[in-house]
Amino acid sequence: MTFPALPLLTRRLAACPPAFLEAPRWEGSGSLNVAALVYDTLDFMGGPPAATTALAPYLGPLEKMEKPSTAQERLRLTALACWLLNDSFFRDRPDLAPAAEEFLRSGWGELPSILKARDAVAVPERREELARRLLKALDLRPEGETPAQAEDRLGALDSVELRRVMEASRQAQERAKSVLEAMRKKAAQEAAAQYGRE
Amino acid sequence: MMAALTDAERFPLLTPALAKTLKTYREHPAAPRFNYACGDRLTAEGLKRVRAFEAQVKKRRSSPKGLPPWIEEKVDEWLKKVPFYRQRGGRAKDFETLPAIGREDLLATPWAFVPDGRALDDLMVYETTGTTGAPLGVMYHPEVPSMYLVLLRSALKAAGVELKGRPGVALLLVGAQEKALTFVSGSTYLDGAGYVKVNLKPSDWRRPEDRATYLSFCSPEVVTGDPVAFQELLDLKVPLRPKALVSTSLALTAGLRKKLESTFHCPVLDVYSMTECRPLAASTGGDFEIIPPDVHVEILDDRGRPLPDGRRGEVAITGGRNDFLPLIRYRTGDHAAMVRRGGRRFLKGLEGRAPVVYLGSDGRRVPSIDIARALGPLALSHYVLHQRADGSFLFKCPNPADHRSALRALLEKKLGSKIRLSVEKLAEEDRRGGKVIPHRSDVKNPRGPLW
Repeated sequence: MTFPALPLLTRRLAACPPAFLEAPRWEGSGSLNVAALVYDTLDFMGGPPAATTALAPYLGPLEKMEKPSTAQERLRLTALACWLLNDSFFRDRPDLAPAAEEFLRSGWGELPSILKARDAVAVPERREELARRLLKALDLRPEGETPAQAEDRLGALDSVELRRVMEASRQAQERAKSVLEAMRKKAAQEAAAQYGRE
Repeated sequence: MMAALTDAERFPLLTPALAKTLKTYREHPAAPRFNYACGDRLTAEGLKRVRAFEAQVKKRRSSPKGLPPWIEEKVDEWLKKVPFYRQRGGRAKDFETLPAIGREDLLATPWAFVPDGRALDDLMVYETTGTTGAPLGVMYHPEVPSMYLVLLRSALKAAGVELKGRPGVALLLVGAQEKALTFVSGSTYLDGAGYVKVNLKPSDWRRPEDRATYLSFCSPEVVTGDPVAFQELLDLKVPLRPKALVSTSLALTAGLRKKLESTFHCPVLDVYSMTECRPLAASTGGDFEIIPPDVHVEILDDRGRPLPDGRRGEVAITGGRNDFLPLIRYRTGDHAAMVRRGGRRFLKGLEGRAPVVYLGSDGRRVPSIDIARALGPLALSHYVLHQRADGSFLFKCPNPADHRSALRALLEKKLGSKIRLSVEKLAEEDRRGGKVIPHRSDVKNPRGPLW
């Protein structure tokens, strides 16, 4: 089994045409037609043509709960993934097309609420993260890496995990602050009677 | 300035009988000049939990060998919810491989022992005197002291004494210190019985002779105190007839026990207690029986590995009822061996803190607790104050250069301006079995007034 070279993918992302970061077409406005990009990408990969109904996720928010700003980033990230999948490595790879379709449609999780598409182009670590996420979704890994190395590296780059850790750390700091503050305040207040000396 | 509470706030379940008790003992003509007020803060819900704990204590006197059945669930919960343990990792299933913790951990990050989500509104803070090291602010909730009474009652019962709790004073705590909080309080758990805390220092009273008058008037069911205070009580010759004496805080010598028993004609219970988990074991002269059913006690070697019964090592505890301070393998710094008899657990050869009274340069005796209190503001993690047989002092701490002038001023204030004092860095050999014993004196039978 052959694997793509990671630097080729990240360089491709860095060279992404600015049009891929435009506002997605949505209820009559926006110029980036993500549904068309997905359709063409799956065709490029040699997969079965996407049914019109399957393109609904690329036309606006996934559901009412998805914030418009998050939906916009998701669609831009989808466009960037299409740009990557148009690399020659993925041409005529119908074996990879179903996994690619699934990733484009529903593989984003919380990422669009954290990662701006423009950072996925401009920031080296975020470029690498997007490329690695795509490879993982296709059950591939960068050329020259073992599965464990690929997993480790993605784990280290994972924006969602990073935010979770930072949030946990922020919460721990807040908690420490409030406990210390309560300790300080309560130490100056009358306490319950102690019935013995320790 | 601390906002004063009303008695109704101090005792959410205040009864007219308890209100009368508080008034009677506060306003007695021979009462000392009380300098504090506090209550049990026990609500109806809190009292229910204290009663439930009492039922648990009554039910579980015996403890089979091995890990208690509750430990895996509790420890698993704390490993998930308590920031300190979560960060350290480990699994409750592998309990005996979990790293032991020490007082220094509690000092460094007290907040990290409060479980996530534990509300802070009923939090209270108790500042230890630091007789075993740096003063420690221990967080607790209002039910913890009342649960102490449950355990004390249970230990007394094992010694054949029934603490009834009745109108009047159930407990009298006597101190013999330079400074102490003194107050009249009570206990809803003991059916509204009174609790009086006094300091025997004469200047705390209107007239020195009031001490004997007031203590006799209190006529308590049980008197608690440390050996230094009990020695003072003996010297005062108060005709008290308590059901028992309870000695805490410092090691009780066999000689003083005998003297107390023959003077007061009652059993003397030596209670091994610490602020971190409250009473752990009690003795009427022999080995210390472990009292609380919700504390798992281990004896550890110096690498934190559990030792078999009969082998001497450091006492470590897991569990307790203070949910602001869940303890997993907490090294107490005290040493003993575990023995079992009839399914009950005992600590054999427990080395407590020997009472130390220094002799000041002005001929006054100064109890070690006063030194511990005076040094509190320096927040030293460990120190040793050693009075040599010639009366001179040697003080050791980890960073003497940081504290030299403050130390001298504090110690001269307590021990007299003419003390001969040298200050050195604490050395590794000062750690006896891993523990630094802070107070030592080679002056035999120091004589002189306490105040």
